[in-house]
Amino acid sequence: MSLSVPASWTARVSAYSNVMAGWLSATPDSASGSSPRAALRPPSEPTATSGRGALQLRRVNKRYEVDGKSLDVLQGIDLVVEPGEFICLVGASGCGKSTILRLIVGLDSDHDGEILLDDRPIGPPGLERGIVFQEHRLMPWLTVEQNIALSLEATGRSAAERARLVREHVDLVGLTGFERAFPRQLSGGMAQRVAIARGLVSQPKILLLDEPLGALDSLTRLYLQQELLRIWSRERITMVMVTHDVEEAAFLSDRIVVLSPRPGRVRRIIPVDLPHPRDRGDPRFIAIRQAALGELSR
Amino acid sequence: MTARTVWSERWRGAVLPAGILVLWSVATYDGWVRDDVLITPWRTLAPLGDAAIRGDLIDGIVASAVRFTEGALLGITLGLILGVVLGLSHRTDRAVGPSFHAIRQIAIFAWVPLLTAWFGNGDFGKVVFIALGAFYPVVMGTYEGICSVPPHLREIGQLYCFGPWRLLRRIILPAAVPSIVGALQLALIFSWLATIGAEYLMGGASPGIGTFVMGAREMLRTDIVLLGVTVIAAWGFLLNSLLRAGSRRVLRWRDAAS
Amino acid sequence: MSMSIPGTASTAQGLSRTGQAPVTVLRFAQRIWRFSRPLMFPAAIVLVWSAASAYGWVSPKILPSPVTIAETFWDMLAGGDISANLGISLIRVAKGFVVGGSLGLALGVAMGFSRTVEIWIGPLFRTVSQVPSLVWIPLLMQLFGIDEMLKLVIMVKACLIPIAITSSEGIRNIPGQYLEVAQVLALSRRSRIVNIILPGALPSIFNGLRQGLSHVWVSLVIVEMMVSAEGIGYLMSWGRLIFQLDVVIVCMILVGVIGFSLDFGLQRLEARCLRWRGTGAS
Repeated sequence: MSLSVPASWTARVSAYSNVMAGWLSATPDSASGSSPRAALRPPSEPTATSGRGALQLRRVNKRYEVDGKSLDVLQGIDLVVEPGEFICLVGASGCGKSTILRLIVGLDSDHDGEILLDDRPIGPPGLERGIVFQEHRLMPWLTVEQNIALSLEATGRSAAERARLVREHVDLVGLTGFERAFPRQLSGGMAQRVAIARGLVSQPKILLLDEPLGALDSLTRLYLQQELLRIWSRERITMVMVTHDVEEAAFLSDRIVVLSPRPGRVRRIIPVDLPHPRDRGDPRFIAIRQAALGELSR
Repeated sequence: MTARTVWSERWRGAVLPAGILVLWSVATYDGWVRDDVLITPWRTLAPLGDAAIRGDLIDGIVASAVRFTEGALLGITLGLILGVVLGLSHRTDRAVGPSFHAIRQIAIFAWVPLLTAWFGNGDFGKVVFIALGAFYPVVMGTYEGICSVPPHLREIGQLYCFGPWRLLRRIILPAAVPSIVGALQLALIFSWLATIGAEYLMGGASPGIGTFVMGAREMLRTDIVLLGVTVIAAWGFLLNSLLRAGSRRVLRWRDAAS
Repeated sequence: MSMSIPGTASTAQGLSRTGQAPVTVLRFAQRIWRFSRPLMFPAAIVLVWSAASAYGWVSPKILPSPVTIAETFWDMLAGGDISANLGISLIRVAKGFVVGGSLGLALGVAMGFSRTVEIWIGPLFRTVSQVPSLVWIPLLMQLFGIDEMLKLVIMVKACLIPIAITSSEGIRNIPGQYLEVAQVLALSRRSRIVNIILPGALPSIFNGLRQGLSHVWVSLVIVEMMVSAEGIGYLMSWGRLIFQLDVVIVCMILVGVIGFSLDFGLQRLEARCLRWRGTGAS
């Protein structure tokens, strides 16, 4: 049973053109002069503070006590993420980018400053904030569909509705046919796709991704970047992704947030105003990538 | 976790054993329990006052220790040899291995009647039994240690034109040492168990701590039984602690080197 | 490695050009050869052994011939000795394992989930568990006499300890990553236990169950050898008493076979319950 990602370039090209075709058919006004980001948003133009996944971080600080001395991990983080936006946090190791995600999802509540989701302070972890980790963290004893259904345990939905949602999301991530497989039978890329489905199935307002493609080989990574874009364009959900790969950030996100290390601070936010699908050889793309790299190496 | 919480946890862990000890002492004192069934801790130590009993006890400990050492050495030596042979030679492993594993299924204590029929109740039968206890784990551990030497290490030996003896001495055995050391620990524990078991089951032709205990049981001297069992348990603790400390030493060397 | 049966290799080559059947015969013969190879060494031993008895190298009283042993086995089977005694032993094993196993699981789960229980009971438990059940036998004989209660107590002690230890460790060693997933999915406490903690601890629990069962069997045989009037251990010591070593050897083999089957059965159960682990993990 061949469960690995298609490795041939022809398969990859056809996957790419499928994405393009999906794009062109789903956005009839992309030919017009409207902003490329608008093409991704639902028809009504939401503002930063309406109730569909707007995230705000205000003066967020985080400090550790080590041997009586205090260590600042994050300092004065101010960030506004609009609903439906895809932003990437990039920075060197140790700049606290994963910490920011953990604070947003609620695994860590020890911080100064405010974190607001749709104008309300966040609390302990809840299903309105989904997260995908770097390791897939699938339960080895549950099948693909049981792993995804785990997300719906705490909701009050009926069994029929849960089954429907799981099925939809298995299809969304392109794993139809593998519902009964166990994680050990899946390749790294497929397991990570299950993790993404698990993060999305409870229909959160915002999805956090902590270097989700970091543990995969580069071919799989390229393929999954396409998949992430496709899923994001269909679901139109706010996505906050942490990555150390600047090119990945430039390829995927609407804005790149560059963080400086120790203590973590927002150094610069670089908007990426290029239409999807983006050409990695386009001079504007390269310019943005160079700008981000420049910020990082300062 | 602060140092204080660790200590307070330790104290709490000691409450239950201390409580049991107190309860035990009091139970017989106030006549709650008949005192020939449940002996107070103090009465357990009392027989030590009697010189004859003390002498028997010490003779028993010494004799058991001697048999333990003899049996363990015999079993470990034979076990190492068979383990190395099975590990190195696939042919021998395929021929002899299955039979070895089949025989291993028979609990070693089931060998006792046969051994006593062949060798009587004296020392020799007991030593053979103790050796058997050490034999199995050593064979298994050595075999697995040798089999799990990574092939690329052997290749290095081939690259440097090591002869078979040198390959064994410088590469295979050292790589198998962690597994062998683990097996030796197990072997010593099993030998100890076999020493006691041999004396319980093979009876009192020769002195030994187990024989001492069984003899006391027949005379219905529960206090001496308890004394003997405590000595045996203490011996076990001592052995366990020594093995743990010893293996920590060996492991520390290994970790520092890697 | 050449496994050809002498004489057939070239013939098979020649014939295979003309037909399939001879090649299949060769492969079949090779399979039989491979299957019988592990049996060659024991077969040789049995042959030498039989010869030793037949030619009187060793007195048949000391070492009964394999034929005698087989005959004795047959007689005992027909006469009901085996079924009666083995049945009693197996019933005892069942009682001991069920009681000891449930107590062990209960204790292990308590120690695994509750840090408080672990702090209070843990050290005492670990101390007691260091001394094997065998050592306690004379004392327990004093306290409980020498009938069924003694056997039950010894068996319970023998399996309670490994089961409690492995299940508490299994529960406490669930990787933190999975517990975080439970947090971000906002699972209820019950759901977390049922979906994550128990399945994750199951491999360790099964490990303990297998150790416990093997300990139960061995300790039962020991006690039966020492102080019983029935059971396989008794049968063995009785055979020793009347110096019928063929009876003794038959019982030894039975002890080995039953021990193996008990473990094998539990292994199959484990494989079924832990199907998600796949092959190659044990």
